[in-house]
Amino acid sequence: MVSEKDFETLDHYVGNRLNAQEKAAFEQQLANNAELQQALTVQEQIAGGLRKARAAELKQMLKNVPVSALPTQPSLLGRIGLWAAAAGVAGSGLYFYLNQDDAKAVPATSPTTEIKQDATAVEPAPQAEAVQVPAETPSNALNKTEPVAPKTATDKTEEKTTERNTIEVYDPGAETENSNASTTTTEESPRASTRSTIVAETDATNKKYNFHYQFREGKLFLYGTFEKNLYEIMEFFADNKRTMFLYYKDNYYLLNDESDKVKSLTPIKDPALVKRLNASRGH
Amino acid sequence: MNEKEIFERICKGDEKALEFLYQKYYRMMTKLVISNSGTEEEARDVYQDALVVFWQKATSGNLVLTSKMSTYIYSICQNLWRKELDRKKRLSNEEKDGSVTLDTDTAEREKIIAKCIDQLGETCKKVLMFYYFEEMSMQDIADKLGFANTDTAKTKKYKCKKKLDDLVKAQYSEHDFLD
Repeated sequence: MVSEKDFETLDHYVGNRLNAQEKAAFEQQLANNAELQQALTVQEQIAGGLRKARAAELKQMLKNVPVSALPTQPSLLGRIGLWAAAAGVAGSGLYFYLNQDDAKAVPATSPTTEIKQDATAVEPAPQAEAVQVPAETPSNALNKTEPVAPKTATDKTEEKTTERNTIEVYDPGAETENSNASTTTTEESPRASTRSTIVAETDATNKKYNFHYQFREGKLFLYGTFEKNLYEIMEFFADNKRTMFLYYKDNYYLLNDESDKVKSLTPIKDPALVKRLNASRGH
Repeated sequence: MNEKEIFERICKGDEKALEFLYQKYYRMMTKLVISNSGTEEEARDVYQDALVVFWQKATSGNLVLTSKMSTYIYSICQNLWRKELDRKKRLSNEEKDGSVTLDTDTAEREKIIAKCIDQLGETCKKVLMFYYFEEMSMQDIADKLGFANTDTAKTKKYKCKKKLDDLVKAQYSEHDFLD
């Protein structure tokens, strides 16, 4: 008969809870006790059964865990197909990447947008009427229909000969072809000495400003995704005053260069002014 | 969850961490078997067995990781799959020789014990499984199963074990397994 104490030690032995010394002592005791050996066999079977049951329980738990399907070994044709698809995806990616670069590059190359303009150039627009557009109140200014002679500080003699405002219509396309070319006028522009220059650059990467502008260091910065060749900068000169407008996607925006702050681009709503600007653009 | 966190949670007996680990290395581990002439089912089986081994060693405090967890589990998978291939080979040879021997006695005893375990209540099963498989301390068992203290856990374990012993002995007597 196995004593209660021996049975307890036996249980600890089966449950791996004896230290090396206790274990050795118990094994010595086992060697001389047949009854204890028999009890051990049964206890080991029971403990084994419990371990097996727990392992099965855990395994079942894992079987219920959803896992993604295994990657199967594709056939040779399948592999070729996969490679072709991968190449296609890579090609498309490269194409879009390069296109994106182009789109971004446009504003960067906008030194095209550098406008070398003859301040006193005679307006080549069809209408004979001059347009004076003060920066602050453009719509009111348009009500004045009297001819305004453009003035420059350096070339006063030209005042007499120039009876009309200069309306500069910037053509980025033309500029791209020849960035050094002066802004086109139908007439000759001999007064090169009085040229004013606007350099416009676009920045599509600015996260804060997505449709804004800024005059800084003598340059015009346009923030936002301005499509290639779709914007124009219009300059009007009158009484030594320069008024600028941006034309972009059927809208006009007043450009105020009085400070170097970043300003948002707000489309001009005044139908009379829009009509005038359209007329100036030759539409 | 990073490697260290997963391992720590597994050591504490967190089954969710085991499930997470199972998903994490599923492809890597099953690929080992599949690329060594195993089926998907065999691969899954081996990986699950390997994780159970890993779990047992980790929860019982018998594991000190000296490599990455994935490396350790991978080596268990390798061993298990090697054993399975050996078993298959041996079985195939025995079938050829006609020398297949079945230890019906052992199988019968295992069946009896499984049946007796099934007759226990859920808490009893858990207490005994945690004690013999995870080798948890009485304190951990008490915490895990919400017992008031270790004494309650000890008493519960004693009573449950006694019940299981009695059930098994009764069944063994019926089948003349007790000498």
